[in-house]
Amino acid sequence: MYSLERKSIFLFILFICLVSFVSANDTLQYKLKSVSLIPNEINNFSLSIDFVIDLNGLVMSTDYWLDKSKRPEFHVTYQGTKPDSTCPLQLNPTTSTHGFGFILSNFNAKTISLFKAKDNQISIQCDADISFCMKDKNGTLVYGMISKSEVNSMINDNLSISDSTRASFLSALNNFYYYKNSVDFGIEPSNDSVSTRYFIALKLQNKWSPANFLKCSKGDNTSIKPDFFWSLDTRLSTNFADSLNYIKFYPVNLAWSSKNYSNQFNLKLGNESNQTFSNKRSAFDASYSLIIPNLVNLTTPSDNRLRLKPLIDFGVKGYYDYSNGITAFSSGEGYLDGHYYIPIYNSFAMIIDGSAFYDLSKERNPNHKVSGNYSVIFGTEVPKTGIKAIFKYINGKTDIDYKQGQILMIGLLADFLHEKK
Amino acid sequence: MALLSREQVKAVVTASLKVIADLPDDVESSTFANFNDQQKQIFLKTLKNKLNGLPYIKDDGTTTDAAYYDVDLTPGSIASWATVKDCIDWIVANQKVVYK
Repeated sequence: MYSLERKSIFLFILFICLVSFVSANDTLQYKLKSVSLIPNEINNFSLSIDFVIDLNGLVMSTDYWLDKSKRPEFHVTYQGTKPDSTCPLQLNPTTSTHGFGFILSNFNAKTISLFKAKDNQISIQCDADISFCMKDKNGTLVYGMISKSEVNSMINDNLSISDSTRASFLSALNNFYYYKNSVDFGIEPSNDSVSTRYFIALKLQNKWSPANFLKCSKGDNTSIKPDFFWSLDTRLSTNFADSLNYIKFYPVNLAWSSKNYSNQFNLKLGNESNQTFSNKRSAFDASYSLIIPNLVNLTTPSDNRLRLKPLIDFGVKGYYDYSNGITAFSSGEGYLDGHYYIPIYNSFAMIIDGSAFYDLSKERNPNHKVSGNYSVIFGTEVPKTGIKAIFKYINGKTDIDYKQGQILMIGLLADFLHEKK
Repeated sequence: MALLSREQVKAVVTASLKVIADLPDDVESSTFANFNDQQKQIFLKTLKNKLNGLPYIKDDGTTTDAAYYDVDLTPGSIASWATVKDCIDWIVANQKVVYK
């Protein structure tokens, strides 16, 4: 009896040892292939640290890290600088098709300037070996492991952000955030070369302090705090007397946006004038931007073209007009602006930009008429260049000097601000 | 399931495009060539929100809120996709699961 009991204990211990041995052999040691730092600049800014593993045809089992005890242990290190307790960096583990990684979020201007800088003032450190799980084609699980020393040396030796990369993060965030920035250049043709005129149309917007694009986002997601920025909207021509020229500079802009920016409420305060500053006024403007359903369809099913919906801005404006040669007065107007790209059959397109306004003053609008202006661009894409050959026709009045204007232009329309790199 | 299939990603991309456009039958051959910056911004933000908002689907088919799907996007992302098909394929290849 005693002998049988001893035999059972021996067999049990042997079984445990065998299970441990098999389990240890099932966890394969893997090597990292590479690491990279990928910015995310849409919605809240974040940086992804992306490790690539040679998975030998296996796929990552993303369920494995749902168990918090299996996740990698990492922490942010702050060397030579105190952690910003009001805005600590947030670290979340990730798995991908090709390996694993981390998302670092909650950056502010200070932490982005110090993260992975030359002296590594802010970095991340792995605290334990990383275990992960993969699946083969039959769904059989395979366990893998990477040593913490390999991960840490990969982070220390292969990961850094140069000043130029850091600047490009900020400028990309900056340019895109205020998406209405554009530069158009064109030629007004004439019968003789002497009177040929050139024009430039600029729409620029920016924050007064670009560093504020990176802000501590913790708890800010539900904030209704508006964006605060300046804006310049102008059309200048070598023909100073062109009635369609204008300069609108608004040092104060406040914008409240829906989550995906499809709707936006804007308030702005600034000065509007023609190019010679003979007509000028200070203005307070409130407007709302939205997308409306398509109005026309000039394609056939075989053309297979995507039809963008029209973009509309409508608003009210109060102003103080102090133009040359008049007695200054205050008044207001309501207005409607629109942008519509209309694809035509297989390869042609028309872009219509229009503005209609109704001025309440008897000085500017004695007949109580709705006025406006519009431009029609007709063109076709030059393959592979991204540039469109265009004919542009402008007709109407601006709400600055109320003179009728009409121009036919030949020019190039290019996206100067967002060239492919 | 775990990582999103191509069909699931295509559904998210087309739903995001529908916010700013009417789509042809063969949406995958459409290009982003005529999007202005406002339309690019709305598309990318909608895409990101919709992807993040999908429930994480476990291997057994049930869902959990312990993780979510994500992809790293920048304003230049659209420039790297010649067609909607390229956009879908890129997201399938670069998607990740983020653990809360």
